[in-house]
Amino acid sequence: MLGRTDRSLLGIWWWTVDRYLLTAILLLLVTGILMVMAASPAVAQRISLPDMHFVWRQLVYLVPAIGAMLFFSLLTPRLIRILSLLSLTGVVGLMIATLVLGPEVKGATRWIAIGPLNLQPSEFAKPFFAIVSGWLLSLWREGDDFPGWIWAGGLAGIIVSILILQPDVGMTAVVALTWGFQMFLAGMPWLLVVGAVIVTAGSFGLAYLNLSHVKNRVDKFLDGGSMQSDLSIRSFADGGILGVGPGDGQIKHYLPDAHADFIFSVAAEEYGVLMCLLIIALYGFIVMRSFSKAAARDNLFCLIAGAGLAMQFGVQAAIHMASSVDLIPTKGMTLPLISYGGSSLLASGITIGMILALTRRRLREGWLNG
Amino acid sequence: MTYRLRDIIWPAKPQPAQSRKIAHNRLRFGMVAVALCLVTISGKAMYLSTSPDLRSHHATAQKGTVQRGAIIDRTGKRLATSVPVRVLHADPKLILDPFETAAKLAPLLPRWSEERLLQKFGTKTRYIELERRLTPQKYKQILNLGLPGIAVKSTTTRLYPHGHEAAHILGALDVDGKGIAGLEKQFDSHLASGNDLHLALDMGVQGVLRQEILNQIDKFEAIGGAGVMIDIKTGEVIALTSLPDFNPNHFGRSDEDARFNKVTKGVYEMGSIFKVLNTAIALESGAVRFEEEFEVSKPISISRFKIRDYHPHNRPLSVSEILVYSSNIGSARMADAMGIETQRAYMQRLGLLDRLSLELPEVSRPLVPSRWERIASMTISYGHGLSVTPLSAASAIAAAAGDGIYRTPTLLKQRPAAERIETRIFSEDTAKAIRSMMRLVVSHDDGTGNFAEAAGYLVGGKTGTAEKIKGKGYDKKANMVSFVAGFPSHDPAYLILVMVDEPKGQKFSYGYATAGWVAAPIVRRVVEKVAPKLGILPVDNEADEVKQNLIQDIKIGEEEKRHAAL
Repeated sequence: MLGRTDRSLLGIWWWTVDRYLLTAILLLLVTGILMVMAASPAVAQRISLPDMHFVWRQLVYLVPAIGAMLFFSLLTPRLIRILSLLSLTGVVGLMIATLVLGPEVKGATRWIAIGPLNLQPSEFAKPFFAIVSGWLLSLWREGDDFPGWIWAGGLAGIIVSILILQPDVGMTAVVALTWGFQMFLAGMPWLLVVGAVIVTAGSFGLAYLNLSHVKNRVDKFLDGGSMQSDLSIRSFADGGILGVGPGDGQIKHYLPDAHADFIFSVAAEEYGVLMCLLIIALYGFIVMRSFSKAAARDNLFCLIAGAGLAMQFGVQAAIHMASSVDLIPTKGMTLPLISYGGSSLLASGITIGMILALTRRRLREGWLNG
Repeated sequence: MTYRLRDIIWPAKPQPAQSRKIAHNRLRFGMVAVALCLVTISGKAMYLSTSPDLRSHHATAQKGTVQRGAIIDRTGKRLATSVPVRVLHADPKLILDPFETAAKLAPLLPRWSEERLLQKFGTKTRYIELERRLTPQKYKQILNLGLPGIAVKSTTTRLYPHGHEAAHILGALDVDGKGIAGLEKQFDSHLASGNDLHLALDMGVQGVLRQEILNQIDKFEAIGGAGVMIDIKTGEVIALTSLPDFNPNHFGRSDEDARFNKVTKGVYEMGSIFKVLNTAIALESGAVRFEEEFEVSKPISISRFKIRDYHPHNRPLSVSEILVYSSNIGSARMADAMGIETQRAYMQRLGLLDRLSLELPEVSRPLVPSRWERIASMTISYGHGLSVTPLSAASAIAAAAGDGIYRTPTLLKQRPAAERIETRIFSEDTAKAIRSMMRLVVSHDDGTGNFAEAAGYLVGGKTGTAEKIKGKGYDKKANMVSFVAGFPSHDPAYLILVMVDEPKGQKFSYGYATAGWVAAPIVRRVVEKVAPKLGILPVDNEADEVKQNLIQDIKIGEEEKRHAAL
């Protein structure tokens, strides 16, 4: 279909994009559909919707998500930078608007309605922030006297502040970790790295002491777990190696957001721990492959931004999975590309699209001004 | 120096190529960190998936714990046994719709109303026990309801199939399955490690003894009673009951009064049944001869105390007459004759001055007088001034009214070996004399125990009235009447002691509530019912074996008849 000599936009894309990464992502997407099909009918029944309500919606959401993924993966690094800067400005504006105008859902204001769409702007802030921050940091390292780390830090500070006010601790952790990792890659002195680790631990302590819902969650966790973590643990134990079989799980009947925040537990119960290990392996592969391909570009921006995005993707998955297996307190965190949810899926699509763009093989000098 | 310090904290910006190299190297740290995180998550996921303990429904009862051993009577009946049960319980945190759950469950659970379920579901607890012994049908029905938060677990429960019947012997378990009373407590570790316990108890006899005492409590409007039956030849306790009693299946619902074991925990001044012991000691020690007579016409004044008889006799009484007529004065004179030390030494050897070594936690020490003086020895001769448990008294009397050998009572089925502690206290002759006199209490027209006569079983006994100590002094109205009896008298196999607490005189008893009216008939009925089961055949009074083993020519009341004739 696309010959090696094809010089069309798609042709170049096909020959330069990392196809292993692409395969892993498609596998995750297929797994995601399987999981939402397993988990969501129970949730739909409980709130008196047609059984396949969430499944159809998820399939519908997949269209813009895959579209965004393709679109962003076609862009050059420069276009990505520009688009990200613009988008981030808009998204941060939306986040502030959400804080002021958004309805409170389950104790937090994270959502805003734009026309028929109910969006969670912070989902989109993450990938664009990673790009902009990577840009600022690479400018600092490669440019003349631009104090990019201050700009990046300030930007992270603004986003983190808004997220804490929402409040959304999971997302805060993801953004903060992304920025921290990018600072680390950008050559942050070791002494400061150690200092940053201490400050991070301290700020977790502060969050525990000052944010009542964090305290509640952590106390419950230390107390031997909330009902959610109990159920989640049980789903692993009940599922065993091969699972109780698709559709036969119980946890989805008990947990309100089984199809989003506890999809990993549903996977464990119905498909067994082997499926969980497969999912973990796919995430691991995507992150590692992205790291090494971003490094292979020999371009500081591509490395810092690409690795930052991959890390962000991995951290979000890790938080979801770690709270499922009761390693950390339960978080309202989706499993990227697998969980049900339009915002999450679209944002993941954008993230993956940008990762694909930044990890494409380098073309000969001059092509597309890469 | 300052330059270097600055270098460490904030090094000068390297060349772009150098920056890329640093980023490249540092990416490896990121890879290691990500790998470590994912490996940790995988490990935890694998651990959880292979931990059967964490599963929602434990299909098997607690692993590693053995089922508690059974308690079995001498005929092989299971008196306490552990059986697997399904326990229905709720976890309010997992209940999605408390209203629906309560509405669906309430019709299936007779002990719960919808309102109470709802109220319970609103509490913060994570565990509500709804039903302890779920039947298979109910189990299925409840499973079919498919209610989240309602679960069933398999465990074992302790069942006492005979209910109240041997309650004080068996005792009970607490909610954690630990023995808290009776044999369940005494043999807790033995039973908990899965061993059975074989008792001397015969549930057939136990049932009869308990029922007959209950009947009499009913007839005489008494407040309680007690009874014990001992195998004289072995010291085995064949039956033991204390009334009121409790249902070990619902120990928690019983009160202190019901849990109190009168036979081993209660100590009483046993009253006139002690005269049996007094007579035996007097004869055995040689202080008194069988033919001797004692002056009983005047009360004995000692200190500020007077010892008197209920029915004064204006002539000297023989040893036999003192027992048959139950003369306090005569008994006191015999005690005087034997002396304080002799009396005390025999009481000691009969186990009356120490805590009985019985296989129950609920055993009391006797209340021994602090100064055993002449007055004490005189009152003890007719059963006052020394408080002992009824079982101690029965065991001592079993020696005097049996073959003269004292055997420590036991609740456990005895091996036929010579392991038992047997002490000969009384000679065959003394025992024979005592048996003969006790037989007269029942068989002679002037005896107080005529109502205990069970034709053919040669019951020999002695009545007694214990005055219950209430507050500081004796309560004249509050009596515990008792009857102690051995049968068959020529070759005693069993000793029975029955007590009835605070009986009230009835029309049919002409207002009497004495031991002869209340306690003696119990013995007759029990003997008539259990003797055939225990393989004891009725005998003829004139049979050779009876003549050989009982003194036949004891004269009772001859003097009085002569007086009356004049």
